[in-house]
Amino acid sequence: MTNRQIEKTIRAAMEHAAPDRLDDILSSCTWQQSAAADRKSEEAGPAVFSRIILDVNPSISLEVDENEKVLSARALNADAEVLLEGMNLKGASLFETVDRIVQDMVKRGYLSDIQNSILISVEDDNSERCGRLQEKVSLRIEKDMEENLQDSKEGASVLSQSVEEDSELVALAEEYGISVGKAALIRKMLNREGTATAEKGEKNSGKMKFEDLARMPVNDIALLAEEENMKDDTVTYLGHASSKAYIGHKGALKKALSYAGIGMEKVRKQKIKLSCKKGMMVYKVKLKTAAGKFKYILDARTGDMVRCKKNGKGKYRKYGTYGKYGKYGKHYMKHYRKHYCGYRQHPMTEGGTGTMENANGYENMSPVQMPEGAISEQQAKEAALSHAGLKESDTLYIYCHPEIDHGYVEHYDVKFVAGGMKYKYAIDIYTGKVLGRAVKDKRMKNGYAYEGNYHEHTAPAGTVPEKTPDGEDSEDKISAEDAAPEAVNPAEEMLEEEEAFAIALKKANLQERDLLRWKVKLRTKHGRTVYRFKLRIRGYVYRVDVDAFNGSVTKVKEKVNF
Amino acid sequence: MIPTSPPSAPEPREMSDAELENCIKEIAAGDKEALSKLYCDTHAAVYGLALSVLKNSHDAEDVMQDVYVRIWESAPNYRAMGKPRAWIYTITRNLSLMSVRGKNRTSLSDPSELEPETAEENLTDPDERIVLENVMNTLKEDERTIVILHAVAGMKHREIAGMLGMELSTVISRYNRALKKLRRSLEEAD
Repeated sequence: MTNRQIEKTIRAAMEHAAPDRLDDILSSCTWQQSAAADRKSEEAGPAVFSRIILDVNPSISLEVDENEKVLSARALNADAEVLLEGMNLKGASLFETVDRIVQDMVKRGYLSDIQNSILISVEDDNSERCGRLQEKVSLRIEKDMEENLQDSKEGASVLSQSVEEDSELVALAEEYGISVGKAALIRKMLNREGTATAEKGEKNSGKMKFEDLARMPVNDIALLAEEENMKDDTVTYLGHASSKAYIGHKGALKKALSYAGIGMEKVRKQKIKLSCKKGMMVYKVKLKTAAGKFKYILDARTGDMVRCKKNGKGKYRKYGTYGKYGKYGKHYMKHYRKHYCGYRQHPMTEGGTGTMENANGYENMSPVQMPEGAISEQQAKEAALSHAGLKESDTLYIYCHPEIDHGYVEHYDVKFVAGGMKYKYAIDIYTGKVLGRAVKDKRMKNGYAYEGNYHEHTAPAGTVPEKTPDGEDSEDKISAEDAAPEAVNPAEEMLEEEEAFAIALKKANLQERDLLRWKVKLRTKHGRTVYRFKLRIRGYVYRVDVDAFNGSVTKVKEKVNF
Repeated sequence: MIPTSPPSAPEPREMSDAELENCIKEIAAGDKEALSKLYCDTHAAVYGLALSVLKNSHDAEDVMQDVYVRIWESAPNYRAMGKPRAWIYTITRNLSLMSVRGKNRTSLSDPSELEPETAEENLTDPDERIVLENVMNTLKEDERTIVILHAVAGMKHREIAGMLGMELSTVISRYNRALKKLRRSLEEAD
């Protein structure tokens, strides 16, 4: 039986098995509808006159009656739920409610001097009342923010607009999990961008995408609106959005010059602008010099190079300190979005947080919720460095992030380059114990130069000194025994690749002749060395991990691949 | 082991989404004719989906009736967004899950009540009977749901992924796995 025949039979079976209850349904519908109508009229409370949506990253919808008393306050995302927890706003006046919300947002760090923008969207059938409310609320919020952010030099940035819900807007808001107000603002901005480029006679390259803007906090959207001249006439802007979280135009120029290895005197023409690329805030720097044209895309927070081009027409060339893909390799964008698009709820974390622990900015924001008792990223870095017998100053770069698998934080991944070697450590999130390690010689073109195998924990000559890390008095300090990986029986011998391959084939229930392609790598996972096979057959890819010592299969994963 | 046929496209639907939306609009205005039309187009899938969750033909029948009554009640609140099928089947799934929860709460005094009433008993065609039996007994609940939504309701994998909140790739792989399982068990039965 083919798939199509099976589908056909299931369909026919269901059609025949389904009983005919139409008469019963029609007879109960008359009663139900009148009863529902009665119930509706009984349950109907005071009428909602206006709806006000506040967006920072937490998005809150307030419904008010004709006397501007709050009838309901609804959280539109996870951050707002946390914010509104325990807050009883029903029956309070609109101003009182707004005061409390702004105060709480400042206290929790959603509003600060680096993040000073708030969007107010008012929905009301009566346009006069809508305009009045919009003005009143925005002035009140501006005043509230200035009172609460006294230390800030940036002031408040309040964006306000009136919104009329339509099906497209509702669909957009639902699709991207944002409020109708934010969806309306983004749609207006994109329309504005489209008209502006059309007026200039330029081709709309579609560089700003709805999905990119949807995942950004309101402050970044406001910044882009200012920078790209995407301010819509129907949106009122009070104050300026803060760009304190970013390195600024001057900083970006300085970074670009250092990557290009030239001085300012050689620059004939320059163009710098803040933009967004795949949901990441970047500076685009164009330099015209005697040596040629340079184009850089720099991470707006750190100035790290994301992309660069020199005299190239569509072809990236290696240039600058870190090569064509920048500091963290070609996965930088993925890394950035996963770890720094802080306000967004991380899809892999249960419940997500996206909340800021304090108002110190992006550096302190982690979208990944670490379990209680977990060590910090800095401690994980220290554990890895001390195991390698190195100091942070010895490294060319070091970065650390929690590795998430199936919604749980598995371990910290610490990667660094020192002495021409590339180190990768897996650090236990509770004890700081080294779970796995791989070292790659950067000078080697192919493959990883694993230092023997992880179980024997032999350090490569010249790279890892034999001394044990000498401890400082700290409770979290990892002892030499803890840091050292478990020793294995030296008599245990590593399997040959062919043996492991046979095991993998057997486990995946495949024949070698079925394979279109396969490859194998040696990897360390949870402190065990495994052969990682990727077996490709028509329509499917199997990943099978075979323990390199005892031949047990630790993981089998099947993936559809067309 | 190796899938030989490419992923199949869902069977063409009898009523288009726009027609269904019009139908819901008419239902909102109190038109019973429209409800009958909608019933004829969707009742097999609604029943199948309820059956896939409940595994009991009597409960599935009750849920099916509740679904159309709910559609009749909620039609005035329906917002046309081009996804009427997702709306109908989401109602079905929610009511089925509520029914499962309700059943779990009530304790059964008579052990004979535990005996499931199977839908395949009503079928006369032996092929259909075997296939339905296999769908109910061989597949897991989520696989059953995906198969019913695709094969009976005619929903596309992308729509199913959106409705069930799953990744598209997960839906496709579960669907393929389910069909593979079915094929294998049907071959064994032969």
